[in-house]
Amino acid sequence: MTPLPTPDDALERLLREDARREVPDDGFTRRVMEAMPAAPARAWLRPALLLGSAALGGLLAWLLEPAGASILRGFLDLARLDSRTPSALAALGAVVAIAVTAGVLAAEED
Amino acid sequence: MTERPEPADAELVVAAAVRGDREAFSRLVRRHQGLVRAVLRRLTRGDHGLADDLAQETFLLAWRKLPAFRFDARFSTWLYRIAFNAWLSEARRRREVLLEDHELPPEPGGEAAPPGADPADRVDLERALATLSDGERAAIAACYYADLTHEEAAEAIGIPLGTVKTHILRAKAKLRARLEKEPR
Repeated sequence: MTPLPTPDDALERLLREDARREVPDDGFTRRVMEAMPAAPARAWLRPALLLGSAALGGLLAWLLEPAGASILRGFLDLARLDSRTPSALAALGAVVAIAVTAGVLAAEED
Repeated sequence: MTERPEPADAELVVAAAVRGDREAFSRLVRRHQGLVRAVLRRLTRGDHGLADDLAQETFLLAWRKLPAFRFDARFSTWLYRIAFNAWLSEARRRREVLLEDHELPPEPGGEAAPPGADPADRVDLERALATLSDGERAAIAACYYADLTHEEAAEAIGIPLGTVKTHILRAKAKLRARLEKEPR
Protein backbone atom coordinates (compact mmCIF):
# COMPACT_ATOMS: atom_id res chain seq x y z
CA MET A 1 0.00 0.00 0.00
CA THR A 2 1.38 3.41 -0.94
CA PRO A 3 1.65 5.67 2.09
CA LEU A 4 -0.19 8.97 1.95
CA PRO A 5 2.12 11.88 1.07
CA THR A 6 3.26 13.89 4.06
CA PRO A 7 2.85 17.69 3.98
CA ASP A 8 6.60 17.94 3.40
CA ASP A 9 6.40 15.64 0.34
CA ALA A 10 3.53 17.71 -1.02
CA LEU A 11 5.41 20.97 -0.58
CA GLU A 12 8.55 19.48 -2.08
CA ARG A 13 6.55 18.30 -5.09
CA LEU A 14 4.83 21.67 -5.42
CA LEU A 15 8.16 23.51 -5.40
CA ARG A 16 9.74 21.11 -7.89
CA GLU A 17 6.74 21.31 -10.21
CA ASP A 18 6.71 25.10 -10.04
CA ALA A 19 10.45 25.21 -10.75
CA ARG A 20 10.02 22.94 -13.77
CA ARG A 21 7.22 25.05 -15.22
CA GLU A 22 8.31 26.47 -18.59
CA VAL A 23 8.58 30.24 -18.85
CA PRO A 24 7.60 31.00 -22.47
CA ASP A 25 10.13 33.12 -24.31
CA ASP A 26 7.49 35.57 -25.63
CA GLY A 27 10.10 37.62 -27.53
CA PHE A 28 12.45 37.91 -24.56
CA THR A 29 15.47 36.56 -26.48
CA ARG A 30 14.80 38.96 -29.35
CA ARG A 31 14.64 41.92 -26.93
CA VAL A 32 17.94 40.90 -25.32
CA MET A 33 19.64 40.55 -28.70
CA GLU A 34 18.31 43.93 -29.81
CA ALA A 35 19.61 45.55 -26.61
CA MET A 36 23.11 44.16 -27.11
CA PRO A 37 25.84 46.68 -27.90
CA ALA A 38 26.77 47.00 -31.57
CA ALA A 39 29.49 44.63 -32.71
CA PRO A 40 32.88 46.30 -32.36
CA ALA A 41 35.09 46.80 -35.39
CA ARG A 42 37.24 43.78 -36.20
CA ALA A 43 39.46 43.17 -33.18
CA TRP A 44 42.64 42.88 -35.24
CA LEU A 45 42.07 46.16 -37.12
CA ARG A 46 43.19 48.58 -34.44
CA PRO A 47 46.45 46.84 -33.46
CA ALA A 48 47.21 46.34 -37.16
CA LEU A 49 46.73 50.05 -37.85
CA LEU A 50 48.91 51.02 -34.91
CA LEU A 51 51.70 48.62 -35.79
CA GLY A 52 51.45 49.54 -39.48
CA SER A 53 51.70 53.25 -38.67
CA ALA A 54 54.70 52.65 -36.43
CA ALA A 55 56.40 50.56 -39.12
CA LEU A 56 55.69 53.15 -41.81
CA GLY A 57 56.98 55.93 -39.56
CA GLY A 58 60.16 53.94 -38.88
CA LEU A 59 60.67 53.30 -42.59
CA LEU A 60 60.19 56.98 -43.46
CA ALA A 61 62.57 58.03 -40.68
CA TRP A 62 65.17 55.60 -42.01
CA LEU A 63 64.72 56.75 -45.62
CA LEU A 64 64.70 60.46 -44.86
CA GLU A 65 67.32 60.61 -42.12
CA PRO A 66 70.18 63.08 -42.78
CA ALA A 67 73.27 61.60 -44.36
CA GLY A 68 75.61 60.11 -41.83
CA ALA A 69 72.94 59.90 -39.14
CA SER A 70 71.45 56.62 -37.94
CA ILE A 71 69.28 55.37 -35.10
CA LEU A 72 72.28 53.46 -33.78
CA ARG A 73 74.39 56.60 -33.83
CA GLY A 74 71.48 58.36 -32.08
CA PHE A 75 71.54 55.88 -29.24
CA LEU A 76 75.32 56.34 -28.96
CA ASP A 77 74.77 60.10 -28.77
CA LEU A 78 72.13 59.60 -26.11
CA ALA A 79 74.49 57.37 -24.17
CA ARG A 80 76.96 60.27 -24.18
CA LEU A 81 74.10 62.46 -22.87
CA ASP A 82 74.09 64.43 -26.12
CA SER A 83 70.43 64.66 -27.06
CA ARG A 84 70.63 67.61 -29.47
CA THR A 85 72.00 65.82 -32.54
CA PRO A 86 69.56 64.84 -35.37
CA SER A 87 70.39 61.18 -34.76
CA ALA A 88 69.64 61.44 -31.05
CA LEU A 89 66.33 63.17 -31.81
CA ALA A 90 65.44 60.43 -34.30
CA ALA A 91 66.29 57.75 -31.74
CA LEU A 92 64.20 59.52 -29.10
CA GLY A 93 61.29 59.79 -31.56
CA ALA A 94 61.50 56.07 -32.32
CA VAL A 95 61.51 55.19 -28.61
CA VAL A 96 58.48 57.42 -27.95
CA ALA A 97 56.57 55.94 -30.93
CA ILE A 98 57.25 52.36 -29.78
CA ALA A 99 56.30 53.22 -26.17
CA VAL A 100 53.02 54.83 -27.26
CA THR A 101 52.17 51.86 -29.50
CA ALA A 102 52.94 49.41 -26.69
CA GLY A 103 50.87 51.46 -24.25
CA VAL A 104 47.85 51.58 -26.55
CA LEU A 105 48.05 47.85 -27.26
CA ALA A 106 48.37 47.06 -23.55
CA ALA A 107 45.31 49.21 -22.82
CA GLU A 108 43.41 47.35 -25.55
CA GLU A 109 44.30 44.03 -23.94
CA ASP A 110 42.74 45.16 -20.64
CA MET B 1 18.74 12.65 -42.76
CA THR B 2 19.70 13.07 -39.11
CA GLU B 3 19.47 16.48 -37.51
CA ARG B 4 22.57 17.91 -35.92
CA PRO B 5 22.21 17.59 -32.13
CA GLU B 6 21.85 20.79 -30.13
CA PRO B 7 25.32 22.05 -29.24
CA ALA B 8 26.28 21.90 -25.59
CA ASP B 9 26.52 25.07 -23.51
CA ALA B 10 30.32 24.88 -23.54
CA GLU B 11 30.41 24.84 -27.34
CA LEU B 12 28.11 27.86 -27.57
CA VAL B 13 30.02 29.73 -24.84
CA VAL B 14 33.30 29.24 -26.70
CA ALA B 15 31.76 30.37 -29.99
CA ALA B 16 30.27 33.47 -28.36
CA ALA B 17 33.29 34.36 -26.22
CA VAL B 18 36.08 33.66 -28.69
CA ARG B 19 34.48 34.49 -32.03
CA GLY B 20 31.88 36.96 -30.79
CA ASP B 21 29.24 34.70 -32.36
CA ARG B 22 25.92 36.40 -31.58
CA GLU B 23 23.85 33.54 -32.94
CA ALA B 24 25.52 31.21 -30.43
CA PHE B 25 24.82 33.65 -27.62
CA SER B 26 21.22 34.00 -28.75
CA ARG B 27 20.83 30.23 -28.42
CA LEU B 28 22.25 30.40 -24.90
CA VAL B 29 19.76 33.15 -24.01
CA ARG B 30 16.85 31.14 -25.44
CA ARG B 31 18.00 28.04 -23.57
CA HIS B 32 18.48 29.69 -20.16
CA GLN B 33 15.94 32.51 -20.16
CA GLY B 34 13.36 30.31 -18.45
CA LEU B 35 15.58 29.56 -15.47
CA VAL B 36 16.86 33.12 -15.09
CA ARG B 37 13.41 34.69 -15.36
CA ALA B 38 11.81 32.12 -13.03
CA VAL B 39 14.47 32.72 -10.39
CA LEU B 40 14.16 36.49 -10.69
CA ARG B 41 10.35 36.31 -10.51
CA ARG B 42 10.74 34.53 -7.18
CA LEU B 43 13.37 36.96 -5.94
CA THR B 44 11.29 40.01 -6.90
CA ARG B 45 8.20 38.62 -5.14
CA GLY B 46 6.42 37.95 -8.42
CA ASP B 47 7.10 41.32 -10.08
CA HIS B 48 7.35 39.96 -13.63
CA GLY B 49 8.20 43.32 -15.22
CA LEU B 50 11.10 43.99 -12.87
CA ALA B 51 12.21 40.36 -13.13
CA ASP B 52 12.37 40.61 -16.94
CA ASP B 53 14.31 43.90 -16.77
CA LEU B 54 16.81 42.25 -14.42
CA ALA B 55 16.94 39.15 -16.62
CA GLN B 56 17.79 41.32 -19.62
CA GLU B 57 20.48 43.09 -17.57
CA THR B 58 21.79 39.65 -16.54
CA PHE B 59 22.23 38.46 -20.13
CA LEU B 60 23.79 41.74 -21.29
CA LEU B 61 26.27 41.52 -18.43
CA ALA B 62 26.89 37.84 -19.24
CA TRP B 63 27.72 38.80 -22.84
CA ARG B 64 30.29 41.32 -21.59
CA LYS B 65 31.78 38.92 -19.02
CA LEU B 66 31.71 35.82 -21.21
CA PRO B 67 35.47 35.90 -22.03
CA ALA B 68 36.11 35.67 -18.27
CA PHE B 69 33.99 32.50 -17.87
CA ARG B 70 36.42 29.76 -16.84
CA PHE B 71 34.16 26.66 -16.85
CA ASP B 72 34.81 26.15 -13.13
CA ALA B 73 31.02 25.99 -12.66
CA ARG B 74 28.03 25.14 -14.81
CA PHE B 75 27.07 27.96 -17.17
CA SER B 76 23.63 28.08 -15.51
CA THR B 77 25.25 28.48 -12.07
CA TRP B 78 27.39 31.32 -13.39
CA LEU B 79 24.28 32.96 -14.87
CA TYR B 80 22.44 32.52 -11.57
CA ARG B 81 25.22 34.42 -9.78
CA ILE B 82 24.95 37.31 -12.21
CA ALA B 83 21.15 37.35 -11.90
CA PHE B 84 21.32 37.19 -8.12
CA ASN B 85 23.79 40.09 -7.99
CA ALA B 86 21.62 42.12 -10.37
CA TRP B 87 18.65 41.57 -8.06
CA LEU B 88 20.75 42.37 -4.98
CA SER B 89 21.96 45.67 -6.47
CA GLU B 90 18.42 46.61 -7.45
CA ALA B 91 17.02 45.64 -4.05
CA ARG B 92 19.75 47.58 -2.26
CA ARG B 93 18.92 50.63 -4.32
CA ARG B 94 15.38 50.36 -3.03
CA ARG B 95 16.01 49.26 0.55
CA GLU B 96 18.26 47.22 2.80
CA VAL B 97 18.29 43.54 1.93
CA LEU B 98 18.79 41.04 4.73
CA LEU B 99 20.41 37.82 3.59
CA GLU B 100 21.80 36.73 6.91
CA ASP B 101 19.83 34.95 9.57
CA HIS B 102 17.53 37.84 10.43
CA GLU B 103 13.80 38.05 10.21
CA LEU B 104 12.22 40.83 8.22
CA PRO B 105 9.71 42.91 10.13
CA PRO B 106 6.27 41.33 9.80
CA GLU B 107 4.16 42.63 6.98
CA PRO B 108 1.06 44.62 7.85
CA GLY B 109 -1.66 42.16 8.75
CA GLY B 110 0.78 39.62 10.16
CA GLU B 111 0.06 36.12 8.89
CA ALA B 112 -2.85 37.21 6.76
CA ALA B 113 -2.69 37.03 2.97
CA PRO B 114 -0.67 39.81 1.28
CA PRO B 115 -2.46 43.11 0.65
CA GLY B 116 -4.78 42.95 -2.29
CA ALA B 117 -5.23 39.20 -2.13
CA ASP B 118 -8.73 37.91 -2.07
CA PRO B 119 -9.01 35.30 0.72
CA ALA B 120 -11.52 33.44 -1.40
CA ASP B 121 -8.93 32.96 -4.15
CA ARG B 122 -6.70 29.94 -4.26
CA VAL B 123 -3.47 30.82 -2.55
CA ASP B 124 -0.81 29.94 -5.04
CA LEU B 125 2.77 29.20 -4.33
CA GLU B 126 3.97 32.45 -5.86
CA ARG B 127 2.03 34.46 -3.30
CA ALA B 128 3.22 32.25 -0.47
CA LEU B 129 6.82 32.62 -1.62
CA ALA B 130 6.41 36.38 -1.70
CA THR B 131 5.82 36.39 2.05
CA LEU B 132 9.25 34.89 2.83
CA SER B 133 12.18 37.01 3.95
CA ASP B 134 14.79 38.00 1.35
CA GLY B 135 17.27 35.41 2.60
CA GLU B 136 14.70 32.61 2.65
CA ARG B 137 13.47 33.49 -0.83
CA ALA B 138 17.03 33.69 -2.16
CA ALA B 139 17.81 30.24 -0.72
CA ILE B 140 14.61 28.68 -2.13
CA ALA B 141 15.19 30.34 -5.54
CA ALA B 142 18.77 29.05 -5.64
CA CYS B 143 18.11 25.49 -4.48
CA TYR B 144 14.79 24.80 -6.21
CA TYR B 145 14.51 27.16 -9.18
CA ALA B 146 18.20 27.38 -10.15
CA ASP B 147 18.75 23.76 -9.04
CA LEU B 148 21.93 24.54 -7.11
CA THR B 149 23.25 22.40 -4.28
CA HIS B 150 23.25 23.98 -0.82
CA GLU B 151 27.01 24.52 -1.16
CA GLU B 152 26.66 26.21 -4.57
CA ALA B 153 23.81 28.34 -3.22
CA ALA B 154 25.89 29.44 -0.22
CA GLU B 155 28.72 30.48 -2.53
CA ALA B 156 26.45 32.23 -5.02
CA ILE B 157 24.45 34.11 -2.39
CA GLY B 158 27.52 34.81 -0.26
CA ILE B 159 26.26 33.44 3.06
CA PRO B 160 27.42 30.50 5.19
CA LEU B 161 26.22 27.01 4.31
CA GLY B 162 24.52 26.68 7.70
CA THR B 163 22.51 29.82 7.02
CA VAL B 164 21.34 28.45 3.67
CA LYS B 165 20.11 25.27 5.37
CA THR B 166 18.39 27.30 8.08
CA HIS B 167 16.74 29.52 5.47
CA ILE B 168 15.47 26.49 3.54
CA LEU B 169 14.06 24.81 6.66
CA ARG B 170 12.45 28.01 7.89
CA ALA B 171 11.08 28.87 4.44
CA LYS B 172 9.55 25.44 4.00
CA ALA B 173 7.97 25.60 7.46
CA LYS B 174 6.44 28.98 6.60
CA LEU B 175 5.24 27.81 3.17
CA ARG B 176 3.73 24.66 4.65
CA ALA B 177 1.92 26.66 7.32
CA ARG B 178 0.60 29.16 4.81
CA LEU B 179 -0.50 26.57 2.27
CA GLU B 180 -2.18 24.47 4.96
CA LYS B 181 -3.91 27.50 6.41
CA GLU B 182 -5.41 28.43 3.06
CA PRO B 183 -5.79 25.11 1.23
CA ARG B 184 -5.48 25.06 -2.55
